[in-house]
Amino acid sequence: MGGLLKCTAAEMPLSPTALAAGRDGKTLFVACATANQVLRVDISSRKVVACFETPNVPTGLSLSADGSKLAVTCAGPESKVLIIETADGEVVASLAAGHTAMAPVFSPDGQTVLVCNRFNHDVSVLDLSAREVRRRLPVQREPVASALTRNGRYLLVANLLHNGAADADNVAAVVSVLDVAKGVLLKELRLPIGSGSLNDIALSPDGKYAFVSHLLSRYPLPATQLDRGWMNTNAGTLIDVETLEVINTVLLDSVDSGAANPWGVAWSSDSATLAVAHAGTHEVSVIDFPALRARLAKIPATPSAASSSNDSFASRCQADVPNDLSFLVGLRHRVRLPNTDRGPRAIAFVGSLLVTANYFSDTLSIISEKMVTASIALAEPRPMTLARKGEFYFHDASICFQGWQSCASCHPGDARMDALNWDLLNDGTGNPKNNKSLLLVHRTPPAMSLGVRETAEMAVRAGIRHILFTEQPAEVADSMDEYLKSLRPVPSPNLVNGKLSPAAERGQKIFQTAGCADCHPPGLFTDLNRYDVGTRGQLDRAADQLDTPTLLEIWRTAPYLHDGSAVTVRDVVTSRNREDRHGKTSNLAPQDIEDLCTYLNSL
Amino acid sequence: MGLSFLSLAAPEPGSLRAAIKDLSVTFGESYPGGPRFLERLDRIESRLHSPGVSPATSAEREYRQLESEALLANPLVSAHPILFVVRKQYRPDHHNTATFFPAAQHEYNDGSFTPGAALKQIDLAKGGKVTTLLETADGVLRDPEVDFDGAHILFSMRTNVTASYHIYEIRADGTELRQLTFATDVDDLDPFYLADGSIAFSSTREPKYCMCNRHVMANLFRMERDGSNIHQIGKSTLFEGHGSLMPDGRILYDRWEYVDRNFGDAQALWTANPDGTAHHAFWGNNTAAPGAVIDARAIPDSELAICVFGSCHDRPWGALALIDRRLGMDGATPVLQMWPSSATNLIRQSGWEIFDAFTRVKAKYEDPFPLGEKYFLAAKMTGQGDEMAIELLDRFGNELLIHAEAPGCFDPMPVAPRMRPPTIPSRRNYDNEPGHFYVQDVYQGIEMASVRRGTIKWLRVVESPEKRFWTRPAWGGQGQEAPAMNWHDFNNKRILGTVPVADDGSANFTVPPDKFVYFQLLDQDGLMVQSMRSGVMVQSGERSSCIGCHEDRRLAPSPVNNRGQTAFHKPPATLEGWHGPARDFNYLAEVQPVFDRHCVRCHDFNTTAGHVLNLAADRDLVFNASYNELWRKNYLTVVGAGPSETQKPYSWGAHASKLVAVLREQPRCRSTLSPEDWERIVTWIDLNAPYYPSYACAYPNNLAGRSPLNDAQLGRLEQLTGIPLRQTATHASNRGPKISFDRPELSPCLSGFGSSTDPLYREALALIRSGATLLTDTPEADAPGFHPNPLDQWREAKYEARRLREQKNRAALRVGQKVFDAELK
Repeated sequence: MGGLLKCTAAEMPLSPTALAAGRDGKTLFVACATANQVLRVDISSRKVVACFETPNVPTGLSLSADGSKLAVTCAGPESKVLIIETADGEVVASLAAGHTAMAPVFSPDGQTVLVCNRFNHDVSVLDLSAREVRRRLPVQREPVASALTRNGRYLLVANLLHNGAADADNVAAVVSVLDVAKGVLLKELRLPIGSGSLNDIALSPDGKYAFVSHLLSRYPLPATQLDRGWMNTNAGTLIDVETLEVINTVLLDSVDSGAANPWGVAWSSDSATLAVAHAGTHEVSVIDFPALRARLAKIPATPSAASSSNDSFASRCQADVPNDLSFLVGLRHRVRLPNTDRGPRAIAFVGSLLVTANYFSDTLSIISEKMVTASIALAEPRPMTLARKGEFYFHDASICFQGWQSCASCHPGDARMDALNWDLLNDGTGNPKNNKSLLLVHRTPPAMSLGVRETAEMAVRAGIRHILFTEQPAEVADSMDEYLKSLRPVPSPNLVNGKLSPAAERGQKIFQTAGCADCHPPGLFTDLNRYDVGTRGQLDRAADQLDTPTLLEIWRTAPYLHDGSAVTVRDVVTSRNREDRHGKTSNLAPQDIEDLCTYLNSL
Repeated sequence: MGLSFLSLAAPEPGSLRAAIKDLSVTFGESYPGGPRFLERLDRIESRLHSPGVSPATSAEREYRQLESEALLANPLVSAHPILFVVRKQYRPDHHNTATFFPAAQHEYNDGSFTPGAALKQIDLAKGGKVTTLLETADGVLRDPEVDFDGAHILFSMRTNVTASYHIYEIRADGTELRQLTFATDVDDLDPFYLADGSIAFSSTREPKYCMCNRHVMANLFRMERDGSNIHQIGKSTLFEGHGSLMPDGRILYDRWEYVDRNFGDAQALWTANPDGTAHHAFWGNNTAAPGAVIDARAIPDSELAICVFGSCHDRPWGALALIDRRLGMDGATPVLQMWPSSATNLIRQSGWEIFDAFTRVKAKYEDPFPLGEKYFLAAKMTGQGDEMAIELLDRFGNELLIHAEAPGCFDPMPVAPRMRPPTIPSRRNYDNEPGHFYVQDVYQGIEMASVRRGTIKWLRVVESPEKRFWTRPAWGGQGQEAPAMNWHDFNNKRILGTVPVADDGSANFTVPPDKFVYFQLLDQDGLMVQSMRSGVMVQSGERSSCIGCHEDRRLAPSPVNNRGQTAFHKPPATLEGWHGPARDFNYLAEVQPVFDRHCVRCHDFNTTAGHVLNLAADRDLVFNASYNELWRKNYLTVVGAGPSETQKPYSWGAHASKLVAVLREQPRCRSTLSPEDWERIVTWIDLNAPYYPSYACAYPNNLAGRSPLNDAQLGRLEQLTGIPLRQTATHASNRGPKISFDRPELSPCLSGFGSSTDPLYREALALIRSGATLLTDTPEADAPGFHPNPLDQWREAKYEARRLREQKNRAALRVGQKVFDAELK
């Protein structure tokens, strides 16, 4: 366990992924995800001055208001939250949290830490004095970031993905607003249709606003082009903290230049500057917030004759703003990071300096006055392994036409999926398909629901060409193959001590008797063949036969079926299988169904 | 050099100081002289401002010396030699595209060629040493472009007055000259390298002509690095020039084309993918002045472009403009800076016939090349006639002469490696398949807010065919029509088909490749609500999408759900023509028969109703009687060769026209018309009321290229009738039908004769009858049996030969073979 001032030199990359800045204007804590380390960096001397080892992946950091304590989420199926004395590095508490804890937040009084349990879809309220979990508050899906209002009452939680059907009318992830004091979900703030990959949310220091970074996917459109944000746009939504209402969503892209994968959000101490890290395009948006606020306030609710085309932006009414690629012109400076600094994710103000944690280069970028003034290497530079290089390219939008998206835009969360239906051109048009996780894709050919790519290798290369709209050297696809092959299933949150629960064990038997295992045999849980199991949707072609998907990690890949029309596994085996063409399930008792679903959700 | 534009500017110490400071911050140790330059500037400035000292003091001379030293120490300027062309300025012609004076047979204005040119470079780090890479005494070389590796140079060269321009490549040291293109009787210009090493250029390989004049035009073509497999990647109907590769891999080019709009303000910047897909307006297509937005280059590491704001009727020069299209697609707001700065006052977003406003710029610039976001090279007039010199400009207001040399210097750019843009994968094939168009929501548009949702039921796809022929005589429309085509406008039209628009505004349809088409939105009655006034094209197999109709091009598509976009969930609609297969629209064949059946028995010559409106079919000298009457008497409210601004829905066409209102108000007239009759009338009006189906003609040397009677015969007829017939070949001066070749005795020009036995009457009638006979034997393009005149047939044969060569090259591309120009000779 940690508490050491010196760590053994990490053999693997550090992957700085979270930051916590002290109020002294020079102290910065850096969580290094793949090295199980938290570094203490002195920004004034640009040196790593201390290191703490963590028992598991450090996913998030939070400093108490007085700076005396640092909370570190150490993620795993059974996560720990370490409370560390910043003065001497002593671990004063280790509290249990849920599956893949992240984004800790100290309450203003320093007595409580709130933690997102990503794969439990809830938030743990940890009582530091009692050293126990006071309660767990459910949110919508995969909470990955949160912000607490200054009075400590409301927690705004960014849900990574939406949790409905992908063919629904209003597909969008939400910001959950928890009333911490009452221990209830107060409301859900719905973002524009197509919103997802909410990566960070931050409260302005004056307490008035929150800004959440996310993608705004134009997913129902055919993937014919990228120009002008035709597929993915990159956005942020501004929330009025007093009313707990969305003010509007602004695009961080520009007309001819995408700003892919907005990640960390930071505010200057005077709330006048809002900064967003773009992990895909390796840059930082530095936004003049009062000017943004004034521009948003100026836009009429409905178009008026007075709004002339002489405006420096395109929006004529508030509804235009989420589509306006010129809205930030004059308000925002795009700071491009040097080539030494790749993959900025977390971002923080340290005094007046802006610092990004660059995931793939193991560096920090220091930005002052809209210029990168320094790059701090957190470790000796070392060559990337092929898989690591592939992970980098997978998250790199600089290999995409105009930087609109990276592979990770549609496949967030370590190459899984965005839960959206996309209409790719590879199987004709007008027949959108639910995005698939890339876990095990190389071992489960063919790729795509209709199997239009014989192998994952072909799909990777086609994706570069037809989705990123670029030609790349062979190394890019080769390394992506290696990265994707290196992915391992995350243990299901439904396992008990890493094993099937009794209910799941019962379900395992039903899985065999109902015939599920005929096409989804244990192992890869696919026989790699194509069938028509009666799941054809109204937008499918008549002759479509669908590839049998693996069921591994099915607990996290909702919605289901090739058209994303089934919200739960239960829907798949019940309401969507009335003719028993997709396994013999109509004769199963309710408890059997329950057990079968528990088993499936344990894979 | 005497009094010149280059030395007129007074010293601007503030500008120089700003540049020195910027260079110091930007380049640090690579710009070591910064502090000393600033010290010198401080000392000089105090003396420059001393009262009572005349301007030509030693202080000013010292300032000039410092200015030169400090600005040329910029590594962007001095680290590499700067390439340039020495030649005379092109002689003036009618338009800024007419600079190559083709030597090919039967082309217009080939006599203005002025030989003598050289490709040179200047090395400012070596005291301005000038080296000649290539020289031609009898020819002209032009349009050089340095490869991204800095090692090769492309250019276009014509070796003598009888030769055509071909593309050449030479090593940057002046060795290994090699010719890449060889096609006879076509001119290849403006070459530039693409990211994958292949080459694009502009060429007259599809021989077609300016719709408002007679000059051969050019399109974008692409070939491999070795000159093989040349194929067309732009298909707009006039000129595509000054191509350059953008940092994101797209082609930026200037395009001149006009559908239902004026010629003069229709040159703007467009982009395309290097495979010829995704042609999109980039900037300035709806700006009235400048009329010509041309010769642009995108600036790396920025979202800016620098270009020339020029004039239609000028050479390809004017003011320089730095534009940020995030601030808007047109007008003054997106223009960040201009050289000269006073030219900003000439910009007008709307206005009529102010397209040549930028001719008023006295010291004109051309050939801008960005060295970065703040420093630019350009050619600028010296003040000695047309002579140009190489200048260094910056955002701070400094302008420095780098090199002047008679007879003039052009096309400066560093002989240096540049960032190679990414390669955009091809989105087309070469199988001559249809492409797809997908429109998300036709109601998305700047002017579409006034159109109630659900109004639009159909989208009509109309081709604006290229002009393959020309005549010397012209009809005076809203510009020269040579030969006459329409009362006002220049285009003929071909309806390819009409496809449904879903209630949610989506539409999904196929369009044949190699067609320059535009779209019209129709209501449930088939009347046009809104119309495009420029064209689009798809390449074979291309799937192209757009958001709406005239939407602000700074908007991303609106988020919608899967259930929307209903048109897209059906197979794409195909184009099925219009009352028969797609064909060139012929008023006399498509519309006049409706009037013949229902109207002419009242509305004829010598009838009361005909006096109000004569709808007779009878052919006059240029058009026919009813066409003349409907236009001249303002029964048609159509856009003609309209202004540059996007027009409002319902503002022109059948909805706005008196003829349709009259028919609706008069149940007796309306009720006799079948739905198809009605559709023929309204569709014709919505097509901008065209007349001739073709630019080919039978009488190329006669009035407006359309009259069966020659000038001598018309002269005699004028003497006999006292009517100045030859002065009627303009829409403005025409006073109505004067001749009926169908029923010569009804010709209004004969009405002045008292008696049909008058010998002069009989002579006049005989002349008209002779014309009628000619029209019977040799019909014009509006009548059955038409055959183009021999020169037009020659031009058509040339066009067809070029088309076959294009097809042969595409066939080679399909099977992975190589075909070169030389093999095709």
